[in-house]
Amino acid sequence: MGLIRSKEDIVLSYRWENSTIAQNLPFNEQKFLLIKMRPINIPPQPRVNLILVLDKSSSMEGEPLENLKKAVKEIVQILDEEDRISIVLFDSEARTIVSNSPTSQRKEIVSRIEDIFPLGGTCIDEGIATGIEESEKLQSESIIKWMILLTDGKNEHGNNDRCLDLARIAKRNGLSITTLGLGRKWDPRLLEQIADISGGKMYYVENPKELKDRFISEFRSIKNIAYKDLSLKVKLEKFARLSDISPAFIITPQIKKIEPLWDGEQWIIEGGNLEREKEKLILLQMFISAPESSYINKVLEYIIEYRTIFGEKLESSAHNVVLEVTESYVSQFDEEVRDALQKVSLYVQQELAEKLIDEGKPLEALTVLQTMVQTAIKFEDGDLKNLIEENIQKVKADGTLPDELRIKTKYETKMVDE
Amino acid sequence: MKCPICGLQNAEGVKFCERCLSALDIFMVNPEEEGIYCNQGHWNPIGAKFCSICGEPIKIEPILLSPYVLVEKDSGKIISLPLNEEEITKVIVGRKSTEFKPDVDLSELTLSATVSRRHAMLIIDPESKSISIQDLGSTNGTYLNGERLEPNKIYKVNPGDVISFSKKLHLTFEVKKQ
Repeated sequence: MGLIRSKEDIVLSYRWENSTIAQNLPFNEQKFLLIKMRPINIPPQPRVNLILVLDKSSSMEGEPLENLKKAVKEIVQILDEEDRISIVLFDSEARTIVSNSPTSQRKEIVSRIEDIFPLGGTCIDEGIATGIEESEKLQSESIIKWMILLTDGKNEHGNNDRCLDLARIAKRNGLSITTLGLGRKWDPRLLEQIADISGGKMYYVENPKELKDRFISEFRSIKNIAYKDLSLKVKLEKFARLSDISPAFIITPQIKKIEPLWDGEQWIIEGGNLEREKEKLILLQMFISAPESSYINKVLEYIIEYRTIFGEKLESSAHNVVLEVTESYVSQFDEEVRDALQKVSLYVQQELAEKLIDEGKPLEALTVLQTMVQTAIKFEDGDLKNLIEENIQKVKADGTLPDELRIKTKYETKMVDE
Repeated sequence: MKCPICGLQNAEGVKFCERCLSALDIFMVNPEEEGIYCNQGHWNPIGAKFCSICGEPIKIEPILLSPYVLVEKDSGKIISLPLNEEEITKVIVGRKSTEFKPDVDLSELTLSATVSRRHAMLIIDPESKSISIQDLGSTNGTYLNGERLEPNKIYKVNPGDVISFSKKLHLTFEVKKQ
């Protein structure tokens, strides 16, 4: 397929929840596999074509906008010479104030930022659409295109489905979108979906004063991309299959459910980017029919395909994943896999609780929330436990959940490491 | 087994729900293991406040130190007043802090933020066994059946009276038969 075999840029390893499987079990055994990837051979920092899409609606007036200006001016200062920046403002319409500019125009860019004036409603899709147009002005394989979208409101003058369509277009164009929700009145589901579809991340910015740090840390993490467009390709043996319902999750840096694609021979699981010094974890759920005999059993073979920051397509060598076959059931549970599993379950349960609330089933939602409390206790995560208990109290009192709690809880259960 | 969390009917042998990955084994407990049951008869570990299966609160009747109790109007929570005619004739009701723990602590209640550390005092008369209340100069005031009490003045309390610690937190004074 015209791929160059890599010189092993990425260290790969795996863990089962239980590395054994008993012979002659009467049912298919549920197994969880955690695949771990860590970059070595770190390349130089990539060039970045940064597109900032910023909400300037009237609700941004005052402290939010002043802090946003500071944050954006700081980003302009720390851009490298080779980087490019575009700035798109939106309210119920969108307008480009800085178009694909080099750092030599810093002064001009800063004065444009100073002139931002808060007015109007919120149409997120217009912002994204204009941002995508800007991203296409520089065509190069060797530059990372990234959009940071900031909003403090719901998409009142826009169409959420169009946002998701645009996120898909962005993804096809190789443009990732990181979404920042400021304050307590935005739609966490929408911002999460835009980020998940396009391969970006979602962040909650509680206080405008945190904007500067959040913009800078997101810019640094884009600059830290070592390898991009990872895909994990899995060839399963006949006796193994992926779960039809919840087959794969990315665990770090944020939890995301993945729908694997079947290419006729193997499953392809998109894994996003690998940052320097950060480990990527992917959790697979599968079912394996009990082997009749044999000492060690190969369950699957996998490779990682990825691109360098210069756009070159590479792949790792193939790795086998095995299970030890035992005569009778051996009780063990890998701590790292358990950890990943519990984090995913908290994330899925939070979504489920919200869905039940919206369907008018507060009692069912309480059951889910109560289970989440138990998991949070196991993690010794007191903040999360308190947060979920706050959810429980609200549901009991009002039968529903306010936006602010939905935002916080979704964010806390999605976020794994910072 | 049907997942009690998301309702998915899981295949035999599944330990984590295939859809929501909830650990199903916590619902498959050894009946001999120590625990408490909710009103629906579901098993729960000791200390659980809500049933992990049906979500209903698990009510444990508190061991009453005395027949005098306060019942929170919204939640039905019972707070025992450790008053008796011989030894303890006065108790301070308030919200605990690192330096101070009142005799009757309301900090577990949802609206406890409106309660002062030393909010009010309940007093029993050893002879007539009647109960009275005195506001200790609390920030948000003490109310008896909706009427704000003058600080440091003593008022008689009858069973069924509503005592409010601030305008929002309402508790009914009751005398339980033992």
